[in-house]
Amino acid sequence: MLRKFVLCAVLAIVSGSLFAMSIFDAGKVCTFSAISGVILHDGQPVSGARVIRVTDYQKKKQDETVTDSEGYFELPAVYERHVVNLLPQEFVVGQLINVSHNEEEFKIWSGVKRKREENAESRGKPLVVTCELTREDEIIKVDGQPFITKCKWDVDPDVKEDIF
Amino acid sequence: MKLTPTQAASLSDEVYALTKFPVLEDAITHLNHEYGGHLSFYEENMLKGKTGGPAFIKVRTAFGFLLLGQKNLKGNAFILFRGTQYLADWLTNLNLTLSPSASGQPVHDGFNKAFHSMLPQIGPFVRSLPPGTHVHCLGHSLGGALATIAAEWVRKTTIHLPKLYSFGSPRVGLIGFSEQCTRLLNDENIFRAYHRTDIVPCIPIWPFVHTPSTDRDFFLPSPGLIPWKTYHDMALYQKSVARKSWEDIQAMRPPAKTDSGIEAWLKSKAVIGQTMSAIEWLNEAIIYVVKKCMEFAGRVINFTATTYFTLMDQLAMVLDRGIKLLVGSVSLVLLLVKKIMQFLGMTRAPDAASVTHDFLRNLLIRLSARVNDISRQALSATLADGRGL
Repeated sequence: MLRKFVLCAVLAIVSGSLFAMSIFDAGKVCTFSAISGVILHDGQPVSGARVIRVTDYQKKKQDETVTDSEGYFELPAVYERHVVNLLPQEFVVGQLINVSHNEEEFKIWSGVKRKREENAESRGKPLVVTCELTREDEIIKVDGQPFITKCKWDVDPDVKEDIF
Repeated sequence: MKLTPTQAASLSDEVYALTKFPVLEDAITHLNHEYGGHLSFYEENMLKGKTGGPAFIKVRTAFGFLLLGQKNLKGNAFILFRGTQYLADWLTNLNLTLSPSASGQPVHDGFNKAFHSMLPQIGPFVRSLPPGTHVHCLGHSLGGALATIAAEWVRKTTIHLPKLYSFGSPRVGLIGFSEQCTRLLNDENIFRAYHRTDIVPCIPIWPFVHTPSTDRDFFLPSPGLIPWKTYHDMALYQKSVARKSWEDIQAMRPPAKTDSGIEAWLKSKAVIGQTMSAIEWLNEAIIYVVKKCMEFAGRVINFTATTYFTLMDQLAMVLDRGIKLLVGSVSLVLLLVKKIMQFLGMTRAPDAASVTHDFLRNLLIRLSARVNDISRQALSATLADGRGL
């Protein structure tokens, strides 16, 4: 008991008021990388479709664009400021892209970004996608980040290990 | 059945992604895919109806998931936790308050409140489990603290004997909680893994201590001389435990420092620097010296210190009473004082006359402040790196 008491006391000494402060940092993190590509429906380019993107980091943010006559769209990288507290926080961002076409809504991208860097979704390469609206969702992980998507891009998914 | 380190780390990591999937169905799809159908949400059909519960617990301070084992995991149930910014704010608030855990022992009120706000969903889940179900409570960081409180609650109020797994958990309660929780669960059912240089397991300050109260914890070596926030990342915990058994990890724990080793360190002429190693030696040396002083001078302090400053005062009192205690021909307390002063960069050689109760108290407080500074520098450096983005 005594030893434990003293141990606590000592831990107190060394940890002291470590956590007494919080640091506000001007640093920025990438919550959705620049993404561009083509939207297809049965292999045909979809023009004039709304591409709506939502990121969910500290709060939800939305932006959107419209595909051109070749079904092409691009959206810039989303960077957000992050408040850094003294306590380290895991970086976790919900990502969603819906395509609205002929009054139908297609969820083409649903995932979770876990790395702060831009292009982490594609292991550092520019994120250029081809998305087929009629396709079944594919479930992959890239560098520990899960995606459920109708898009394909130039990336080797993580090799799945069955741990149970 | 107990989870392997890889399994426990995987679940403690997935809880982050599961909470952030934009669509609930996708979280279910992901869980099925990730674990090959071995795990399902409790009452998955209700989830699909988008009622939001009860397997998906979302309160302001925390998230929780209630999972059931399938296939060869039948008979296992899992409670996964993650904390939120609100809970982090509570934890870092200096006005620490305590409240009683399930067994009436003092724990951090923030963790306790967060857990209790989830209890309306966790309670019916655990009570619905058939006798003999293996209940596993898991979490990383603040989630580890919640898992600890949850495990004690499960043991105390239900028929189940839970297993507890945490990675980089902060300290949850006082010594009474730690000992009681360890007794209730048995330390063989507690798997507390931490990186040597992870800063989070260092908080909150005394009188908070880790569970289990025994030496059976899972130390993971990590680079760096001082506590650093990098090694709090769950991804790095996953890497550190990959393909290791709990026994493998246990074998990495450094042996406890011996009394003669500590005396030799105290007497050594080597000048110490402000490193993790020096901090560890100082820890052990202060424990050793205080213990010796108590044997020498009798039990002169009560164990009811409630604030940090009261504690420093009591420690100073013990050391002051023991100042005439000699090893060989030198005072053990003076040797310790010398080492602390070295650590602080103070050059004046101490003599018995100048080492008063007030002097000792101030020295201890300065030591604490200095270690605090080291951590602040470490954090500033980390933040500067972050700006490069």
